[in-house]
Amino acid sequence: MAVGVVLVLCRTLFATEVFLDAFKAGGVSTPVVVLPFQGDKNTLALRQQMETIVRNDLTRSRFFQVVDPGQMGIDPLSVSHTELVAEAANIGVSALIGAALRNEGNTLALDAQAHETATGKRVVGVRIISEEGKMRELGHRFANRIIKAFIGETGIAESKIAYVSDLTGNREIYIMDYDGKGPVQLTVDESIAVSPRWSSDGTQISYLSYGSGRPHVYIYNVNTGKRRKVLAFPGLSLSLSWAPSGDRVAFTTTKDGNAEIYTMRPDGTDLRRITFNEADDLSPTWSPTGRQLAFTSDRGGDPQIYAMDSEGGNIRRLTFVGKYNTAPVWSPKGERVAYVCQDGKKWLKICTVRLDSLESVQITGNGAWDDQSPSWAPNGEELVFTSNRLGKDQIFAVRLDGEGLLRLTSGESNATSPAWSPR
Amino acid sequence: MVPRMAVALLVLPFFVFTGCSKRVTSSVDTGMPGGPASTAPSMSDEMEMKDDVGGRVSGSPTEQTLQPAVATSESASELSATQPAELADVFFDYDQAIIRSGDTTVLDRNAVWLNANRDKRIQIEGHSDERGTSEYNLTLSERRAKAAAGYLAEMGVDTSQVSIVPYGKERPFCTVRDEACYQKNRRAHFVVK
Repeated sequence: MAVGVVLVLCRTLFATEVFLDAFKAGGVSTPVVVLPFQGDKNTLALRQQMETIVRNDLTRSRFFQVVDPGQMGIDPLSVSHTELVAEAANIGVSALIGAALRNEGNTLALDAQAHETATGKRVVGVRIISEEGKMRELGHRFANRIIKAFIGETGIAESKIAYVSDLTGNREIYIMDYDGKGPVQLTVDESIAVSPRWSSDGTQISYLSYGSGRPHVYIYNVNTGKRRKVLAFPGLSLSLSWAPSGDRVAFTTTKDGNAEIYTMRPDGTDLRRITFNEADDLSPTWSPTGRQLAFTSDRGGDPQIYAMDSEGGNIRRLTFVGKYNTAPVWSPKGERVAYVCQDGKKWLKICTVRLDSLESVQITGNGAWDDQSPSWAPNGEELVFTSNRLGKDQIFAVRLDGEGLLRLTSGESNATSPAWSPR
Repeated sequence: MVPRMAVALLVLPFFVFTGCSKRVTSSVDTGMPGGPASTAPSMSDEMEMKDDVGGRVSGSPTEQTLQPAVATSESASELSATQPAELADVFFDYDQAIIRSGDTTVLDRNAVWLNANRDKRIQIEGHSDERGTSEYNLTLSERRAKAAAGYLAEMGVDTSQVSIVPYGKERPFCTVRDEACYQKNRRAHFVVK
């Protein structure tokens, strides 16, 4: 995803392994203070919005505990740097985060840093530049820089979520930031769009559309805004799924009679049918290594989740609880598959099953509503899904432990079928 | 572009001091992403709003067989626009694509009409109720349309007269969340092209 951000990395030190070990061992979050961003009076509203973005991104990462600067008992702007660091360290704050924003004509420049209070070392020091109006991208980029400095891997703060909205009266593909902000309509098919899926490099979105009157699979190029029709087979073909390496796609088509799973190169060559069963086999999802696929099949009499190797061999059933388990998505961490299950009263819920123990867990809570269309955060820590618990279909995010439920969309329209982008 | 960090960073606090550490114990910012100005409801708001959710019948959904000839108020005008009185729809059980024995007379009549109107082309739309996932319902609805088309073919209908299009749960006839409505949506719908 090009966000128009130019980054100048001045100096980054990774001296934070102690915090990382503590977090991994016991989930202990690192207390940090985000100081008020500095700048001209006319950038005050912008700065406050960016501070909020950075605070929220850090909190959602769970690696940080964002402490109110007021806790320090001193005005950060009225004391010397020495006193500020001393007070921050005194109340147990591990890092101070600050930035200065300048609005230079058509560009925004954020000079951003993070300091460890224990050592005084600057662990983040970057100038992030973007075009005016890309304030949110700036804030998310800064948060990701901080997360990278402390955790050692890129955060999810700059990821996007593709989804279907009926805001226009038709169902079109949109994308929004991972926090639900900044929705942008991508397609103008004026029809019914179904099940968007990202390419592994984040430049393309596959989806099903009735734009020509019949269901066809299209690939939308996020950079050019152009779309092309693919999978010109007889019968019904469904949205395709890219292998993590990007060198192969898997998809469902009924071209040979009933729904079966095929793979091919993204250019359409080397087509291989990999399931052979009178029952429907559909909705393939790749394991992170690309060596395995999970899929839905009703070969046992009702729909269940199965896994197989990417050539179609070694088929085994993963789900054994309930009579309706569909729409699998393989975790980017590899150890489990999320899917749509039914609770005891046949309401749809989000479940996960572990590949090693085949232990199934219901992630979303019981209640008289449906949760469906799970998609993994690129770090494997959260799932987004559709829920009609408030009436209209809306998109929510939840952590794997079922906590941290976040509503990402709102309004009078329905938002469905979320697909989380790669980082 | 020349980095001017040395100048830019002067406006920021510069830390040179190492203090002792005491863990923070209170007043942690627990704001959810989106911030206080966000339209996202707090958890307590959510709990209150759940009561407003209109109802599917509580407990396990039950299967009811409706009279196929009963047109729904939601779709009556749409049906009449594209569907002559001689053609009627057939309906299906939950997660099934098998023609019910009671519906064969409907398909027999449809076959008679098609055989008497060889110049007519029809499209059989497969539909499902909203319960279940999009892709599974698409393939299920295609099986329903194919089951109806297959029955017509056995009755001697010219297969070139018939095409099918699966809609899954994407174009429901009825949008109330109850079994009566779900049953109306589990259908093969006949449209003259």
